[in-house]
Amino acid sequence: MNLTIMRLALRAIVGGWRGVILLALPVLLIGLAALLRAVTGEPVSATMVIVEVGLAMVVPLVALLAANGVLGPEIDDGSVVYLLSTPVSRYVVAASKFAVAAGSAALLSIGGLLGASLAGGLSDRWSVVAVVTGGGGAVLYCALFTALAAATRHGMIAGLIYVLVIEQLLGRFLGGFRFVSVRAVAERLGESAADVDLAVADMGLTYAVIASAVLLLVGVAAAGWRLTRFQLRGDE
Amino acid sequence: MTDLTLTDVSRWYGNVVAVNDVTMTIGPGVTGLLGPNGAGKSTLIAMMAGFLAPSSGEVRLGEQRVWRNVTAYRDLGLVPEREVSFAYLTGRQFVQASAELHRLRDTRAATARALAEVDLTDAADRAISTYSKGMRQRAKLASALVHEPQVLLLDEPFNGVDPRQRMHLMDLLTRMGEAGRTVLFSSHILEEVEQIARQIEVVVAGRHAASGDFGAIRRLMTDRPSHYLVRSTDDRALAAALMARPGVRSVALGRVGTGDAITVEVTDTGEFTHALPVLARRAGITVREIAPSDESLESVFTYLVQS
Amino acid sequence: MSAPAERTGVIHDIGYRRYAGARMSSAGIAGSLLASGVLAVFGFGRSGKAKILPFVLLGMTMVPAVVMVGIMSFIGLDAGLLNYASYNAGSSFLVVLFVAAQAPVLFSRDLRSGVISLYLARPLGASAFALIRWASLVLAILAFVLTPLLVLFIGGLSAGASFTEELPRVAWALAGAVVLALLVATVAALVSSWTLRRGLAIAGTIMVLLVGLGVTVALKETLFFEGMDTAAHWVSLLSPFALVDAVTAVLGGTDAQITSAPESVATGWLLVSTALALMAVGLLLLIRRYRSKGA
Repeated sequence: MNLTIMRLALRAIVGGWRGVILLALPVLLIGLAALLRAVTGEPVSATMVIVEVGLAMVVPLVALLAANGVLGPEIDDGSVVYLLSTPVSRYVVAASKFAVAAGSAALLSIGGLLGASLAGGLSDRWSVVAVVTGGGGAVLYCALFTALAAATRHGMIAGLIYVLVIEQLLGRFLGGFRFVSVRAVAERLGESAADVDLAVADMGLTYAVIASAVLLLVGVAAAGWRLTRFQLRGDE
Repeated sequence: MTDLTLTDVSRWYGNVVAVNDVTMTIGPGVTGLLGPNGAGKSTLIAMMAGFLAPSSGEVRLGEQRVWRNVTAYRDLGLVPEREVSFAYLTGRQFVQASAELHRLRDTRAATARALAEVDLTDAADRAISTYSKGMRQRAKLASALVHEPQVLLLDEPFNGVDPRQRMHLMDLLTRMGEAGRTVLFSSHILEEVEQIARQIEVVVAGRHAASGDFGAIRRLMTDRPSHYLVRSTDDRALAAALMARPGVRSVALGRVGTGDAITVEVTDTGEFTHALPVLARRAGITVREIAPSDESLESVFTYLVQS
Repeated sequence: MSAPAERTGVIHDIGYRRYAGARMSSAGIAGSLLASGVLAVFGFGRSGKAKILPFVLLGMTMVPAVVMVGIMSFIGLDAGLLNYASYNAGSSFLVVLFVAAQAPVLFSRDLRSGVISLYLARPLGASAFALIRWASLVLAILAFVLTPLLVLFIGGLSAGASFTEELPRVAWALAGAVVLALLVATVAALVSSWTLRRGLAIAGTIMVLLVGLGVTVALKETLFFEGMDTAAHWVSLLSPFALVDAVTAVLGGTDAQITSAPESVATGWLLVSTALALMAVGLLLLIRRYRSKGA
């Protein structure tokens, strides 16, 4: 890890509109939980708030914004060369950027889910889900999205297609897609840690653990490998 | 350690050849990479800087290959044409980051020295977004030379920089060249190159067209006999008039396949280009077309004569 | 001190030519701007790569329609398969993706690069330019949403469905699609013209439309459960998809696909009118954005 790269990456994430949208997402989730609870006076429906809005939307979007924030704009306008024309290994560059994206995404996801679970009056088991599934999911998504952002200038769209089309649309109709779904894997981890039912029990826990480890390694390595072959192009 | 060597380097994108079989050695001192827009200068610099793989051939810095070898950046500094997107940083933070990434022992001192070298100390604590084009260019330069590289590559460093700042930048490059560093910069403007580069490398349409001392190349270009294809309303009369000029060695009438035209062999091109319109007008002939039939050198020629 | 001699200059006539031919009327300019905008959304007039995404997404929305029509013609199931309303709701993810990815083409580039000042120096002013851009996006979304509906309708007819029975049902779905296009285009235009960076515009649009939908559903269902039906209906205004679904359900007499619909027709009309009024406010904001950026 390289602290200088991490510092610059952090500034790229928190600055401007990106920081606003990033922060808005978890705040929105907490607000929703609080509002629902105020209306009903009872604990909110965990499936509705934590799963359908939190895990299905807020976590992947936060990760997508963070992962693309550390790499996307710099690759897009070519100014990543200022970081790459140094003796720092490109794998270290990728890993440092990933660490910042994953760290911020996990922090925001856990914060949002934990806040929502508390504001919604849910049991402690959901706090465990917030940490394990929310945090773990954010980190895993970031590994995937960092690799996508390094691979294509359309990392944002590629990530969205993954989340919306592969995970949600296809995953809804074809159960087999849960085996390539970050969300399902993260939910399986949360399920076993928190003793809640997230409807992914038919996936082996071993598979979920191995899949997470592989995704993490392969994602970061792929991003690094892509950076070692980074080519400076003229204006298009 | 200070020589940048290109051996049989080509680069193509699909069917388009951007750089065609270039072999050159860039040594200490200031070298200008001259060529019109789209000649392949940026592609060459990208390959020299390790940001593009040659399709064939090899780029070496001293003994080591440049592509996929980050240790080469210890001895190499690059000033890309791209603007810095870290414009929210101050100049000092930007250069400092570069110093840290190079793992310099005393990053603060190195940063201060680099900033002083490009004369940016006064503005160093302002955000780069408030800089003028010339200041940005100097900030980029400072970040590229903070680790005192032996070789410095600059892609179009004078583009869009106002005249005063340009003078300043030129002084800087000259000084670095005199200090024994290898400095290579690209430009499509002859005057810029002429002013500071002793050595020039001319690239035209992806090919290495000329190389060497600026004056020598220019002499070679003007002294060697060259051929022109001229098309006019009355080729025969024009041929007769041209033959009377001292700088014209031969005139051939007609050319197979192209219809009516004359081919003129010229020893003094300068004289010829000035005399032709005058001659034609006096004889009431309209010149329809004039083109060097030595096509590969056409652009180089117009280039060097334009000054 | 004598006055300095007046310096004069002259432009010699060496045959400059002015353009003296016919010029387009304002309507003509508007028309061609509109057309080029719609085409640009689908990648025409841009690189080959730019065409991939819109057409892949379009292809994906078509899949269910083609499959349903295929099943009807080959297996001969009844026309009950032709559920236009659920098509609108079901393809919402794809619509959101399409709009989020393509709206920046129309609303981010000009504004970000500053070219907008050049456009606005021409006969069309900021308001007209902004509105035409918006109209281009509306038409593009309509094309995206209507194509599968029409395939379903026409394919269904050719597979033996009754025209008179299908027509009113498809008509309501089409009307819903129009309102959806208007609302979604406004949201995406606002977000893209404010964020300017492509990636951010995409994220912003997704957040407003998709997270908005999720939040709306959660809120509506809870409010219904608590018996606060009126409040629940008004919450539909937070998401174009939920709104169109609810309103076409009550006005067109179909089943609501996303959440329950209001029972009174008057509420339905009131909701649509309010949504369109909000859209008008959005357009005013859009025009203001163009005014300030283009000045």
